[in-house]
Amino acid sequence: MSHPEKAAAFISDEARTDWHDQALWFVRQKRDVQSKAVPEWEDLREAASEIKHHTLSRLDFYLSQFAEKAEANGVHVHWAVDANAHNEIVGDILKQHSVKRLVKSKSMLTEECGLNHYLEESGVEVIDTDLGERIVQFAKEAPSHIVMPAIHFKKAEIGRIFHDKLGTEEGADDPKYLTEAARQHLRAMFLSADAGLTGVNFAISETGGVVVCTNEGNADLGVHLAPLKIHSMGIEKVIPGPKELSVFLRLLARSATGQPLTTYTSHFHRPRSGTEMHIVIVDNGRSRQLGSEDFRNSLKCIRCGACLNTCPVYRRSGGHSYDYTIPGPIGSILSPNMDPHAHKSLPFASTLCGSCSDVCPVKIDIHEQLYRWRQVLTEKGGMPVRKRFLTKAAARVLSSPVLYRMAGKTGRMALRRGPRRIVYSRLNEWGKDRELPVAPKESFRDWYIQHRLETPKDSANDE
Amino acid sequence: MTSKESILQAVRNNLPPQKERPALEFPVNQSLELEGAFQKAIEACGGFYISLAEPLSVATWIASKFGTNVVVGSPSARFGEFSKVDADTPSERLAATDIFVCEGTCAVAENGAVWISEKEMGHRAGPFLAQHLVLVVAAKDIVATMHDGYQHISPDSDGFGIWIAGPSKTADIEQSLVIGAHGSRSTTVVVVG
Repeated sequence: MSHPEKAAAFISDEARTDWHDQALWFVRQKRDVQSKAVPEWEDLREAASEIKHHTLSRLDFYLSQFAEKAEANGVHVHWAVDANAHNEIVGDILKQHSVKRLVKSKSMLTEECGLNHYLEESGVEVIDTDLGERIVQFAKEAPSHIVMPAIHFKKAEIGRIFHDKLGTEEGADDPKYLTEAARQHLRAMFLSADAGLTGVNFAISETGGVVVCTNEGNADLGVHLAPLKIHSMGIEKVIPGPKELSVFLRLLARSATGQPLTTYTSHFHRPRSGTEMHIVIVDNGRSRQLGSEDFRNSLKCIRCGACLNTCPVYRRSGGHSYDYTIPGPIGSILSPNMDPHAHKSLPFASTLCGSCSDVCPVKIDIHEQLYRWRQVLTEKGGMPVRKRFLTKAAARVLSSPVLYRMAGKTGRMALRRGPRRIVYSRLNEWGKDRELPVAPKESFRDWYIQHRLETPKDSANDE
Repeated sequence: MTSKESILQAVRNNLPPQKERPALEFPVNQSLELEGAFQKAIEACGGFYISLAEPLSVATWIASKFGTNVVVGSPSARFGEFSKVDADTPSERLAATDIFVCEGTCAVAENGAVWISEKEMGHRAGPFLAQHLVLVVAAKDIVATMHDGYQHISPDSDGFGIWIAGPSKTADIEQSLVIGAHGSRSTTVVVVG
């Protein structure tokens, strides 16, 4: 199903759509409080953008150096060309260590690769430990936001899920009570897990370490208590060194949730003695995106989610309408690289307002890439028949001054004289939720000829 | 060709035009009163701030705030006579510990973060498993921003190091902020000196 079809289902519940819209906008506002409190905010954004451009232009060097340093630290480094390779590598490591229970902190990369499903098929119990992820895992749904996976759930719904899965009181929906229940449940999981797996926010090339940012502490509880830990990362996560890291850390949480820093910013360099640490470096289409002059800037993304929070379409259609691991504006420019057919409606799920590009901490030209993907996908033949027809018809009218004037005159007359049920018929998409403007008696061109032209006879100089 | 070689080759074949590594210079606010700014920041993220004259006062302060009927663990004897925590301490004992006290080597005024590494923690899970966390930093180790922070500490001096800014928290349930998620229920920073 396309985005418009899924979104139509979402917005049929108007009250809920308003609630979702306000919840996301609230997060955008918290981000603004932070950005305005840092006088050098725009300099930080520019610096972050330049760091990413530089790093991507020497990505082979930084990846090699990273792996070399990590291996010198006693870390096992694996390379996965695609999602399947990643899952097999992780599955094999777990099998070698007879892992039955794995605790996982948030990793959109592992969602992209479908790791949970793969591991469950091979008999490993996978526990997502981020509270939002645990909620959607219980509900057997995909996350609807990359930072706040359960933002589409109301607390009463979460209460019902917890009553069913954790035995909390029926009807209880107090967030403190539910969080406490999750704390006790997940601590039991952490203390009994055979292995922990995390994603990677930043991979530091100069030191060979990986950085993971959380508010809950679940990544740390997952990896410090088990004898085996694995960190999965995309190739684009590598950055040159600690100096660059400081720039990104000042931007990430402020952009994502409106906090100066997440509670925990963990730096993993070496396993504690007697345990094993593995890093899996994944390509899965990223090197292809790197080669595209039009779309390579999407690899600068640090997965903050600010573009989702600000996007008027995401706010009013929800993450599940995008049907891709990562929804919203950034997802709409990443997904067509993965599957141009399945995700062809996503770059069109936008008003091209550009708000996403404004809030992006690394200055990705998101709205411009959305526009360019439309060109690419249309040339590939992706546009629905009706839209193709209407676009061609519109092009004919707009390129002919005579046809344009005729259309204008007919339109104004219809709006002024036509019966309402005809003007607002099913063909009038715009009029479904909006009142059309009051039609003026004459066009601007006619008014101009009457009131501004020096010699009225110039109007005879038509095409 | 190994996977590593094929990925690196694919990257090499697709490299964008070379761009220079930017020189990163950010303004230093010389007039910023660091300890005051740090206090504001740590309290804004739901943490607590206390100023004490010397390290051994920490034990007295803990007794006055939490009472004497609590289990207090620490890898260090610098702050009082507490249960010793080290790499061999069983996790269940850490989880049953009420308060974990350890030293931080740097604090950042812009966000309330304190740096601790494995050496200071004793056991990597100590700061997370204990119910409450107390971090002790010297006033002279407070810096203004993260840029200064990374000049003050070395992220790979130990196998594990972390910035902790306040207590664990989550807003995953209908955006209601709940302090005390999976990690510590509270975080107090004691600034000494």
